[in-house]
Parts: sequence; C-alpha cells; structure tokens
Amino acid sequence: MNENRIGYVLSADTLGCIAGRRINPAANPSFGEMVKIPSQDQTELYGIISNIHILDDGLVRQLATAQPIEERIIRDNRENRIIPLEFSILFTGFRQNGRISHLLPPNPPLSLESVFTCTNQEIGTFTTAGSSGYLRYLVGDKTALNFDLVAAHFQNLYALLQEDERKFWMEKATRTLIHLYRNDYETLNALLHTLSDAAVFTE
Amino acid sequence: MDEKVLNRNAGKEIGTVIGGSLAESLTARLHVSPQKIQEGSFVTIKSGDWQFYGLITDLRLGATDPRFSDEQIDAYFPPSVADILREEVLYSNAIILPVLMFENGPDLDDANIQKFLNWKEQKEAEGELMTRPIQIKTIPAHQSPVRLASAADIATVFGDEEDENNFKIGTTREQNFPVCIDLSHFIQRSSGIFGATGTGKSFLARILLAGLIQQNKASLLVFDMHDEYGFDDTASDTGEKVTGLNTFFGSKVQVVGLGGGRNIRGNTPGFQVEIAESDIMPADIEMLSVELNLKETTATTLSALVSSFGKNWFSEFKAMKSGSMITNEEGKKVPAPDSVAAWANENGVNVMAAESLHSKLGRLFRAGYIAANPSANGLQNIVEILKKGKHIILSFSGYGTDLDYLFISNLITRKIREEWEALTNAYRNGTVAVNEPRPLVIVVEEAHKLLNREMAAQTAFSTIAREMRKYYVTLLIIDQRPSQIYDEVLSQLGTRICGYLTDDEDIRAVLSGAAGKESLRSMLAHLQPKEEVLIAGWGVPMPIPVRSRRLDSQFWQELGGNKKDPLQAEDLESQKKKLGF
Repeated sequence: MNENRIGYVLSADTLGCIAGRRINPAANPSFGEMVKIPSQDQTELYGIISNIHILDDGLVRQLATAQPIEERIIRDNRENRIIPLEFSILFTGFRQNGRISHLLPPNPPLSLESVFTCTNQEIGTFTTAGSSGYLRYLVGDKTALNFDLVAAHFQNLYALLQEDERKFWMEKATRTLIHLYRNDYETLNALLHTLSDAAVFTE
Repeated sequence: MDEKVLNRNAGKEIGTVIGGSLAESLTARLHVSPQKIQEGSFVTIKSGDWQFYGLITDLRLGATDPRFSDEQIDAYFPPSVADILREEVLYSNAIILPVLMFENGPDLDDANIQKFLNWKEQKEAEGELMTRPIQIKTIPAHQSPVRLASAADIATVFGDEEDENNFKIGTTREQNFPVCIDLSHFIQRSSGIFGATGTGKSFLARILLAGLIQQNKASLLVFDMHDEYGFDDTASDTGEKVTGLNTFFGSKVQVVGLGGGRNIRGNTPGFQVEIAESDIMPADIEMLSVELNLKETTATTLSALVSSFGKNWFSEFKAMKSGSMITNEEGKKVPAPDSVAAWANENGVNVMAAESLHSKLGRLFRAGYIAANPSANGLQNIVEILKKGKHIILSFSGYGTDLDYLFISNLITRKIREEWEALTNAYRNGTVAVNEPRPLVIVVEEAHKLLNREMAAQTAFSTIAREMRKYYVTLLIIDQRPSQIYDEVLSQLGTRICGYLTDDEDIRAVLSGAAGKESLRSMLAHLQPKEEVLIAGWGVPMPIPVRSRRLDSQFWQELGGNKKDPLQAEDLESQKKKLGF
C-alpha cells in the first residue's frame, strides 16, 4: 500500500485537510483524484483532491529577478525545495467496520497521517454505495472550482467504470445533483454546463 | 371480505398531495405525464384511516425555477442530462376539488388485514363505522398518495350497478367504470337536463325515462313537443333507428294524441285527448299574454266573462260575433245582441278591449283539441292512468306551435297539481284510507318557454318546482337555454345533468348554487359536444363528468335483462318472412 502513498496530512478539520509531499513530477497528485486516509481508530477517510498548491518558498521570488534562470537552478529549486507541494482534500465519506457512509468523518485525521490514492476497486465500491449524496461536499461553496471538481470526478469515473456501470452511475449521479440543486437555478445551470463540457455523457 | 373494501387502493397512483386548502382545492404533484390525466378525472386520496374523493379541476405546468421553463434545455445539454433535468425541475400539478371523505380504516394489504379487522371491530363496537362517504370536512395530509379512482371507488360513491335501486347513467371518461344514479333519490326533487342543440339531451332523457319506467319508481307524464319519445324514431345525426318507449314497454306507456283522429308518425295513439271548453280557466289564458300579445285589460275582461257565464265563459265568448251590427228601430246601427260589443256594453266592459281579446283568442277558438263536449274526459283519463302507475307521453303531433304547447302543458299540469295535492292531503290527514300517492315526474321540453322570467309566476310549473316536492310531483326539465329559466325555478332543481354548452350565461345558470362552481365551470366548458355530460346536485353524491350511455340495442337488452331490442326483433321477424318461415 505504501507505493500508493501520495503525501501526509499537514492540517485538517472536519470538512477536509491539507496534505503535503515532495514534488515528484511523475507521481504528483491530480485535481479530482480520490484518496483515502486510514486513521488510528480503524476508520478510513475518503476524500477528493480539490486544490493543489505550489507555495512560494521565499527563494523563488529572488530567483525570478535573475534573467535568465539557469536550467539546473530551476531543477534544483523544484527537486530540493524545503516547502512541500500541498494539496487540499475535501472529505466525502468514510468506511467504518466495513460500512461506507457518504458523510463527514467523525474525527479529522491527525497530522502526518498517510494519504493514499484509492484503487479502482475502492473507488468503485465507494461511489456506487448509496445515492451519490457525497457530491454535495464537492459542490460545497458553488464556485467555478467546485463545479470543475465535480466535472473532474465525473471524468475519473468515466474512465474507470465499465460501459454498463458507467451509464448507470452517470445517470444516478446527475440525477442526484439535479435533485439537490433543482431550486438553485444559477448553481445547477453552471454545474450542468461544466459537466457538459467534460464530455462524459455518451448517448 | 367485501371485494369493494379490498379493491379500494386498486386505482393507479398518479401523484402526491403537496398543498392546498379546504376552501381552495388541493394541489398534487403528478408522477405521470399530464396527458394521462384529464380534467374531471375522479381521484381518491388515502390519508391515515380516511379515503378522500375528489375531481381534478385543473392541470398546471410548473418549474422549480421559471427560468428552467424558458431554457432551451435540448440545445445546451446532452440528451441524457436534458431528460433528467426535465424530470426533476419541470413538473405538472393537478388541482383537485375534494368533495367527499370516508373513514375506511388502515391501508389494506396482506400484512394489514388483521389490523384492518381490528379497526373495523372497534368502530362497529363504538357505533362509528361509516357506511357511505360524507361531505368533505377536512383535508388529507401532505404527501398522501393520489390515485385514479377504481371501479370499486366509483361504486362506493355512486352505488353498485348490481344494486336494483341504481341505474347506470354512463361511465367515467377515462376508464369506463359505470356511474350510477339512485333513481328513487333522483325523483325526490326536480331536475334538469341541459345542453346545446344536438348534444343528445333527448337521448339522455330517453335513457333516464326508460330507467324510471323499468324500475317503476314513478309515473311519468311527458310533454312530447316533437313526437320523439313514444314511438320509434330515427336519429337526426346518425340516421339510426331509435326505439320508442311505447315500443319497448308496451302498455305500460300510453301515447296520447292531442285532438281527434290524428296519427303520430303513422302510429295510432292509445287514445286522443280533447280539452273541454269548460275546463279552461281565465288563468290559462292570462298565461298566454306574451304569445297572444294580450293587453293589460285582459284580466278585467276575463273576470267579467266568468261573472257572466261561469265555467261556460269560453264557449259563450267563442259563440259571440265580433263587429256584428244591426239597425235598431230608430234606424241607428247598434251592436247585434249576440255580438261581443253588446255583451261588453251590458257588463260595463270596454268594447274595444273585449273585441280585441275575442280576436286574439281566435287561435284558441279554432284549435282542434278544444271541444265543447268531448266524447271522453281526456284530462281525467290522463290523471287516472298516472295514478295507476302507468306513464303518459302526450304527443303534440300537428299542434307544434308554442301556443299549443304552453296552453296544453300548463292546463294539464294545473289539473294534475290539483289532483296530487288533494291525494296527498287525504293521505296525510288519514281521514280516509288512501294509499300514499305515487310519485309523478312531469317531463317538460323547451322548458324556458314555460319557466322564463315572465311566465314562471303564471304557470303551474314554477309552483311544482318550488313546492310540489312534498306532494310527490317533481319536474324533469329539458332545455338548451338554462339562462332563460327563472332563477328561482333553477335554484330549486336538485339534479342537473348538463351536456356541452357554449354560452357563458347558460353555463353560469346551470351551476348556480353549486359548490365549487368555478371549478365545475371550466369542466363544463370543456365537455365534448356529444355524449359527455356533467352530473351534479341532489341525485349524485358529488359532481362527475361522465360519458353518457348510448341509446342502442345494447342499452335495451341490458335494460330488459337481455330482452331483445324490439327493433332488432322486428328485423329478425321480417327476415324470417323473407326466407319463407
């Protein structure tokens, strides 16, 4: 499982957490990727990467004044920087005693808990449990970022699921979203337009 | 267990209650396409131990946000998303007029039968077990399921077709479930059949009359202005043969001709009735003031005639000569002794008024159905036949003017009214052994001619509509212009059966006094021009639009317990003859 580890929890609250890792261009986390965080109390927290941050390490500003920056200096700054690549995770549910809940976890993860990418099987099991209600956490603050996060999640599922499961899941998840936001024209309209752009609906 | 009880949730669920009030109808969110529901559909709503019955009076399109309705959904979203979006944000609501409610216990399914039986036992012990629905007094809860009424629901409210007191008047429009009327209840109050011309009023009337005769609920007196009811007829629109009431029921129904020696469509009537001149009262003439253009002096002149000649006033007046003059001994021209003027002068009556009345009554003096000394007492014969429980169809064959119709129908009705009042008073007083009077229904076509604002106060019909219910006499009026009928009479009509009407005033008139009339008004305006009627009022527990029964051979077979339609039987006989049998 360690090979799936993509970082460690830096800070957390009930809604989500921020994790960090050394930059590795070959294995950096992706926006919309599903992750899990096993906690000490045998609960597995599930979440989706909702933002990725490359933070200023204090040196880059000075380096940016040099013209031009040498290639080896750029590579050195990226590979040996002391500030990690940080990524935000929105919690979407948890597994406790083998049962999956599309609810916020009872406790946030502790610092430096390991964050792992989910296997295809885990993604399939989590997303097909219940009524896709966890999508409400992704829509969250109803910003463009949230809508794109939903679209990225749909794209991931589109790539992952078999054709028959895919159609079923897409319809169920779309219906859930429409039902959740049917009284909120602006949100639903923006959300559906974003989903349409994601080109995940094959007829 | 009673099959009706078990089948009460058999109707298809079409939606759930989402709001409303007792005063302003209920709103239900439809779970099915609005095309599967029609205005006027009879629906049931189960809420707790209560079953509610109502009518769909309106269908409305809605959206969670009106902007979704405006959006070109198909243009912006993939088809699968567009379909889901339509299902979730665009919807249809049904407006339901709740009318009746019935406490019929817990939902019935296999798991609940024992619960239901316990409930029933408890209600019986408390003496609170309902046997029939009552008028609405409360409303169902949110999210109560709305179902299209099943045959069992229709039977619960309108009665079972198998019950001998019930008569099938038609079927529900969507599912063809039979809708019945309890005829013994129906005849307790006056009623009306309304509809624009060509909508099948006469056919529906024939169906009702056949039911009344078959069930022997009342004697019928039909003023048949167009000779439609007694003998076989041909439908003007389809050209099909229509069996007459006399043809089917034989001697139970007497067709009576007016005047002597006339045939009715080539058939000989049971007997002819002539009106004795002595039977005509001044009131019978005053009622014709519009038709004969009588002046205000008429009443005075008639009064003087009665003073002079008593009950023979009509004969005497008829015998007078108008304008007849002689020369007296002094060589002056003076009115002849047998002239109207001479009588007028002698009795202090204005000569011109008397001569004018004499002239205007000329149409009656020449009427073939009025005789000085009729061979039989036709009026009394009619009364006796009706008393015996038989039925009279008075055919106006050859006397089809409004004058004839108004004069005869009013005169006969006045006579009947007097007889039935006397019978009822004798029965109620108990001084002599008299049977309870047999209910009598007087059927009047073109009722607005007799019951319009000007005439209503003068004819016997308005009295019957208002007061004669307690004397066992009611009216069944058939008309195409209900708005022309006097409000006071219209308000007395218990049951109203109304076909397609186009005039707003007519629709308003038919629904005057009805609960939820605004809802019913729209329903009435949307009836099909033929074979659809709205039944409302006293005779039915709740208003309902129905597809009326067809007056065809199947009707007669069902009515006669599968006795063959006489017209078809006749055809068979003639076919046999042709084949040499």
